[in-house]
Amino acid sequence: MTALLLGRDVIGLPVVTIDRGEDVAEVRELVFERDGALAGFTLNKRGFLGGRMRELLVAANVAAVGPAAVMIDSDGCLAADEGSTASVGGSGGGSGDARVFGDEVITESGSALGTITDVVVLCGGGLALVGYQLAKADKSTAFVPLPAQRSISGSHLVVPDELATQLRHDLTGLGEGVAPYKDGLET
Amino acid sequence: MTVNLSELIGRKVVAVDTAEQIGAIGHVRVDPGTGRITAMTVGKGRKAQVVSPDAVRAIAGDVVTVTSAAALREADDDDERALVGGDRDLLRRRVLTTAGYEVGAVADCEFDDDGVLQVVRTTEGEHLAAAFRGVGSYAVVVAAADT
Repeated sequence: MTALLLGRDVIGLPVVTIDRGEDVAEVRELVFERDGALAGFTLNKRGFLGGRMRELLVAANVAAVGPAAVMIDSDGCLAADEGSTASVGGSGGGSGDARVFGDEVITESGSALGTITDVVVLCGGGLALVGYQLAKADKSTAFVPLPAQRSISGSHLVVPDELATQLRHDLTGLGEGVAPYKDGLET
Repeated sequence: MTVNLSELIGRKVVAVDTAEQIGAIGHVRVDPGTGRITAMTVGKGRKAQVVSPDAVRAIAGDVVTVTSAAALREADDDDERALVGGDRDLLRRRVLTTAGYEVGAVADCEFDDDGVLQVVRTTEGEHLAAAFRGVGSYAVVVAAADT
């Protein structure tokens, strides 16, 4: 079975080093590239009074994302924020072109399916975005597998027409939708 | 013969040169790369002192024997201070896999006579020493089953 996590479940997870077993940070927000890919995480210090850390955790340095922790090889995997092109797509919507949360999902023929409320990541090795959670006009929730995406702009996500009838209504369904593409994700 | 960590902690320590008891084992540090015990403390808390493995004669008997009370020393680097502070303790520490799953807490560890880790027993199962990746104040890390 493919295990999946929502972005909001990843926020707040401890970032733990494999070599020393220390919780060196916790996930503050997800950071997206301009093309909608997950670039990595901004970080908070651990603990009740932990403020924001300067370092970023880029996707390439993530050993695994699991339900209990984000694993990295060592604390050298945290890199200083050098003003990358990526921007934060947190609940506030972030700034710039890489906004993902709140984007409207439309089909190629122009029907609105809903707005993106969260992202879905694959548990296990690395950091892989596999889909989006969206809120439909009738307030119900649905999931879109990432491979169905045609394009994303910062305001809209365009998906094929046939997806309108294939929306997944729970994560298990999305897992089945993702499974055929999983081999391609684990490069 | 094997030694369980839970039995090693608290075992009396006797110096073989004077035959005097000089304390009891407080903390044990295991190197994740080799699985070997790389240091132990005699005593706990602020009075704990470090003993290097080269001063240890045997751990598997009724008492732990060390060459001399003079072999005990203060913690002299960050890693040894972490050991004295309990941050390298394995028992009851949460166990995470390299895939980010929590798989219980350490119930006990089994060493051979030479102080080489054989098995980590958790509240949910067993992990061979080869799966042991790291230990720190937050967690013991073991390799995920499929890696």
